[in-house]
Amino acid sequence: MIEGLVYFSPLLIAIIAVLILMFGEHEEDEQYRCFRFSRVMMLISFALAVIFYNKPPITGLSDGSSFALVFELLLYAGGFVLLYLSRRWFAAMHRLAYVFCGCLFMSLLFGYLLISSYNLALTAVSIIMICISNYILLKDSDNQREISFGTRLYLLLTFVCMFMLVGASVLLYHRCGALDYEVLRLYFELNKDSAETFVLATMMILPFLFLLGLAPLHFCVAESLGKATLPVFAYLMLMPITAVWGGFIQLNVSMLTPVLPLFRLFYIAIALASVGIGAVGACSGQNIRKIFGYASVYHFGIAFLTLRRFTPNAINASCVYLFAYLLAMFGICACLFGLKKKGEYLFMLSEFEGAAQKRPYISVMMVIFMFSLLGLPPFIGFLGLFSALNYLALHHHYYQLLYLLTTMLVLGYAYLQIIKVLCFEERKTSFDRVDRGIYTAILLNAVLMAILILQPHYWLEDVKPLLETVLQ
Amino acid sequence: MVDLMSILLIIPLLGCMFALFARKNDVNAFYVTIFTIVSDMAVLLCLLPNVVRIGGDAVNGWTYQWLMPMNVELSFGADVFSMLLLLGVYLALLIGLVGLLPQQRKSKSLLLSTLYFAWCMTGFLTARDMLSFYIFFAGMVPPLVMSVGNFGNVRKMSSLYVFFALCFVGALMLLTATLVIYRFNHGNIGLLEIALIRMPKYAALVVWIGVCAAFLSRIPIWPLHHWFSLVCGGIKNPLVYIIFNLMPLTGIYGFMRFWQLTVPESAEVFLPIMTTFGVLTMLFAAFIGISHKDFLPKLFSYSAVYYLLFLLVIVLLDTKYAQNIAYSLFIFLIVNATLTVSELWSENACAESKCDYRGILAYMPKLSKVFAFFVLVAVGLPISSMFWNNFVLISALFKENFAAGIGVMTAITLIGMGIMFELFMMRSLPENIDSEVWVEDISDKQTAFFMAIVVLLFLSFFDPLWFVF
Repeated sequence: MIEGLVYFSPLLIAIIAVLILMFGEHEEDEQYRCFRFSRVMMLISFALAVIFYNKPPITGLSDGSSFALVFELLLYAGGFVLLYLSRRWFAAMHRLAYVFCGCLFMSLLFGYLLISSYNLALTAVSIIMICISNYILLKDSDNQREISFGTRLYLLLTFVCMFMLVGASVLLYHRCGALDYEVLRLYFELNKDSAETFVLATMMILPFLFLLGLAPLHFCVAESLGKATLPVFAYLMLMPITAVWGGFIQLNVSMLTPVLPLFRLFYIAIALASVGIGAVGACSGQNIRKIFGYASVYHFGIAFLTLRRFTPNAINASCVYLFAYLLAMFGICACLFGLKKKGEYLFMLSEFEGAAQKRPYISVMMVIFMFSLLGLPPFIGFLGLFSALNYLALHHHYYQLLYLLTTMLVLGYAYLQIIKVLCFEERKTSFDRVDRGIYTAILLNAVLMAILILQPHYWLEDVKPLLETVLQ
Repeated sequence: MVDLMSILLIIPLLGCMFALFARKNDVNAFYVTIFTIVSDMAVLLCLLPNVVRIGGDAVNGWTYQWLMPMNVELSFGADVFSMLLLLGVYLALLIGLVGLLPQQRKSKSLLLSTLYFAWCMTGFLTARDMLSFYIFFAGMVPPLVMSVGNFGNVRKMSSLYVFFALCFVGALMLLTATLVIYRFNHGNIGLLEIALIRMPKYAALVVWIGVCAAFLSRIPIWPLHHWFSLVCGGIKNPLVYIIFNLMPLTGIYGFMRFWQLTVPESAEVFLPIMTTFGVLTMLFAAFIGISHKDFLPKLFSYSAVYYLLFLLVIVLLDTKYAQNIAYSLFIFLIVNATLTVSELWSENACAESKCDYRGILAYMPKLSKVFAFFVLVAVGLPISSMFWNNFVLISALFKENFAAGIGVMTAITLIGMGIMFELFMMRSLPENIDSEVWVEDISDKQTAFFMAIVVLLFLSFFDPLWFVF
């Protein structure tokens, strides 16, 4: 009992933080205290998670593996980054951050559980709770009186996800009497040709695809990102993605392996559609957050295309691509936090005109991050892209390779549009003074990227054995 | 050798760092850039005697164990060909820097792009394996896009995208070829060993198409010449123009390295088509050059004609004449850069003193002398090693393919006449001199700098490598 409680302690800290932040009584002048409290709680939770990294947080329902540890570390890193950057936004906008920080902890808590889950019930609860915390944040970021169409749609799809996951869990429990991944894997092995199995597996996969924002479920996430506030935008681009990606790999490798051949074509179609729609969608917008929203659909499409076989090399290649994406996207978010006019954070592309003249360092770094996302050497994205494309070439998927390279040209247009506005246009208005913390965050990111590009074995080779533990 | 090669690669990066943190609106970054380029040239001159002593073979210099478990080792080396081209590139950049107007010298972004471009060029010309070759080839895209976008007056999104697409498609094509090679070799491979890989015919064809398309995208051959002229038309900054003009060099160098290694037998049917396109584009560019009234479009046509000449020599004659191409390209890069700077100076002088462009050199005697010398070198008069080497190359071309030789000679004569005529129009014509007009000539320092280059070129007539001791 005590042993279990000790292993559960990282999550217990997160639960306490959620309860205090969401349901405690707060005063308006406690802005900084909220962030300080969140940072301390996250630090304690992180320390405990590292100490008990190989122990299951909930005995019998989850497992502690090196694979889970990698994603948990990314999750915590995302959490720290968001707390660090968002503090500035909430201070500048004079808004209370309790809901935001509470949701951040909620996402961390259920993300952690999702990554280490070995039980469908726990997975379903985690997914539903992540969806709910996303919805709360989107609702909070909307105008208080009016909830946008995108947010309502998000709620509707959350209900659909809930229905599918609960439905699948109930049906599988009815059939197998347990919801452990191992038991369910056996069930899928024995019934892999039946239509019911296919439907049940689909019901489990679709919520993941929705949370990853892959096509054709992308529209809701991309629309919501376009209207979300900057902290919520950064949160949606960095945090749930990490957890869901880890959970999705775990689900497929531990439970759905017998039926994976049935889904291979479906996965390819989803990935290719995401790549195409992401690239075209990014070109059609004028809202910078929407552009990056669609761009993320494109990048997840590539990672998904690489992942679809769930072999050790596929998992490694897709994770390398994902890490490169996360690093570059974190940099872009930090840059967006640094560009504001008259206290307002910028949405539309036209508002960024001539930013390079006033904020050269931030603009240059943003350009570098975008080139990195495009996979141009010698930036870190090149290694991610090379890893993913090399995997496709090794398996003779030349048409898919050609398709990816063609769509990359389309995505290049979207990024070039941003680069043109940032660097080549004349400045029309002034930009506000930038907090030094933003420069620090960007510099740290640049240094990290430089280290990883000069010594890539840290993340290409040393992480590989850790990721492979998911297959054992 | 090993140490010098690594220093050669590290110096531009250090320069970038210092330039980045230099004071804003000051010329510190400019001096850092000059110092960096000169330092790298000094290292290069230390390396050259070793390379020349060994002869035509490539000397392996420095290897960087980037990803050993994945069999990825980046290796860098040098031969006379690459070292001479690199020296030519540095000299061209130095000329471009000297040609910057006082206000342009304060632009940190331009200087950073220049240093970054110099780093990529250094890596590209010294790369000895497939992956580093690709990394530096594609790595040139950001500085090219940033400098042309910023200072090339490419305000239309369509023109900017065309330029970006041109660079990016080339990079993606080479990436495809790299991936196919990687697939069959299970790791990185030295450039000279590519021919030894056993791969199916279709894979060899994909590699060949990828490599060719990548390098052709950097050369103003039909139908790409229009896009090149579209972008270069708006460039009024000498350094950016020179950087833009160095783009085809990467294509030529790429062909030089890959042509004999990757061409499969099935692809040889494309050879006559490529030759025809090359010659026709040369003739077309020469006619366009003649029809233009300004010097800069003529210069663009001139450089297009000469780059295509080098391309044809490589395609038709393999790498037998590599040394001659290197000597000729070295002089060509310097001449091109000097003419660009001189032309933009005279244009600027016209704009400031509001006098007529025709006869402008009559008011600028020092610039006039420099200009005249370089035009004479450009048209191929026997005052530099370009004369000898072009003579050798064109006569070899005549021997290999007489029709192509006639076309090439016609194009070179036409464009030579074009720029000679322009020189005649710009030089002193007594009836044009207006005593009330005062035009500022180039300074004594700048004159001395160009006179040093004149000496360099003139001595090369007797020995192309006279500066190697």
